[in-house]
Amino acid sequence: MNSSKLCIVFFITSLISISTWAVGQPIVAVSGFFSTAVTQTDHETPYTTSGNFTDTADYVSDTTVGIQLNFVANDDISFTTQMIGRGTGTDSEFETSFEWLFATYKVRDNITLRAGRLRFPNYLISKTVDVGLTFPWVRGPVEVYESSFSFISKYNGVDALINISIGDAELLIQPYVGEMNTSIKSILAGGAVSEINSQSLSGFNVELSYNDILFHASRMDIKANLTTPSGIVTLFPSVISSFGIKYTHDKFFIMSEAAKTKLGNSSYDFTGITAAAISVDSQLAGLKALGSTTLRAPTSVGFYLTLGILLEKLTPYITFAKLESIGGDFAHPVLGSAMLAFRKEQQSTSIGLRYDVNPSSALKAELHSAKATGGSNGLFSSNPGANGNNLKMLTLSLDLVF
Amino acid sequence: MKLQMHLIILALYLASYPNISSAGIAIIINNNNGLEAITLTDLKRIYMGNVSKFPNGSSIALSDLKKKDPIRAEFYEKVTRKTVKKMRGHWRQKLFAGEGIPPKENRNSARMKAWVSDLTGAIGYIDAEDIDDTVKTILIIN
Repeated sequence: MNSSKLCIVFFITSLISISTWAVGQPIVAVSGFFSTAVTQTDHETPYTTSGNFTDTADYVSDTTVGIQLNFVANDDISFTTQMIGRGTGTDSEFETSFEWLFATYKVRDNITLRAGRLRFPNYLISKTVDVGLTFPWVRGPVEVYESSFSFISKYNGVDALINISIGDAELLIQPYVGEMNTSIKSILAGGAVSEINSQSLSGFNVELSYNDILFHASRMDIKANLTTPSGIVTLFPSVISSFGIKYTHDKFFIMSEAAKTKLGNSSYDFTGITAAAISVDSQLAGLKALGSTTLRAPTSVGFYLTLGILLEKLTPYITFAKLESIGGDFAHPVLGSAMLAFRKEQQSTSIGLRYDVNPSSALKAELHSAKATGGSNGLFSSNPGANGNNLKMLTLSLDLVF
Repeated sequence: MKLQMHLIILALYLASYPNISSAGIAIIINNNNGLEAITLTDLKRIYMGNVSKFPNGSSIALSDLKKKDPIRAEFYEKVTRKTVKKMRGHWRQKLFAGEGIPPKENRNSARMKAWVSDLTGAIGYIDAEDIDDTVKTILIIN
């Protein structure tokens, strides 16, 4: 979506940013949010998949506008849509998508079923990751929120929200099942292309809250079909699991999460590579000679710890984070170099300050210092090369809800 | 003169808000709702958005007094042990997580009673001194 379309969405949102209640009964509730930020690093190599931040100031990647419509049809059934216009870091353009588009059915007082387009509940802030006002940072710590599957935010399927009271504690159990239509193409060594599509998935999210403590745990199993260069379709199973905690005590708060992304073994069959293809690209001969092979991608483990202080309007915080890769067939004679692309290791420290201008808006500033480790590119999009593997990134942002 | 001015401003400020209730806070529902009483624990679950229906099956429609009403602050402090600011953040999370709609805001006790009396599943809270027969009282919090 171009800038003018984004403006139209924003304009319409502004016009109808009121809640409509007919004779006391909620019929339609319209709400929305807007975030914008300027980000610049001290490194010319693009940093992070979603942002592609460089040493040129980026005003687009973190700009998001969303409009949400809740329509209550009757006592049991309601509908929710959330449309988002989001900046893309690669071409300074905006794209729109429906992040929420689902029907809700209240089965009983503590059980709700939802069906349609839903967001993944994988991490502590996954469900509201586009609404900057709902978390302290300028963006979720990249070591967890920029995992191998950071491009996945939503799916088409069904979930259940089951609330169980245990004394003064509340337990939310959220099982879900669905599928994604995302198609992911990977270019392997020699230019051969593999494609992942038709992904079915299932998982659960559990949240236990007791006073000012919130525990979060989740697991998602993805079963994707991997189409290899020679057209053979194989199963490509992956598991994403995470554990998180948020604790507030008086003016102090702690947020911490650990997330593991385990990519399954993927099978490749290169026997179908033709002589004609090899005559154009001689590197394909190596793949042809390889025939069939199975590769194991490394398991990614991300972790962060945020400590902060809640003052009247100011929230200073510091975040320590680390990303590691475990395992992986890096020594494979032909495809080892391709597997290295999955290896991402780095550590970072971020210091930031949030200023709540009023209950509906906040200004934030964050300085993120990262270092790619273990001989990997970390979260740089390519080898940082001669510019070194250290990076500093400054972000100033504005978040609004209406 | 300056002191007098300050006293006038203070008097105007105090006059603009009702006193925190000495009679307590009354939890009110529609007269057609079959519920006769509610515990503080159940009330907390309702206002935290963890349950969506009354035991009799009617869907719950939550209501709040306006943001700066002292009764609202007292209500949340006693029922959820959270400040109004924290509750606002809690409902913002639920709204944008697609898990619920924040309570409808009513300007004062009279508006609250009118809203509750119009809607079978409505629940609200008012100064206990403002109770009348247009709504049913199911709990008084002192």
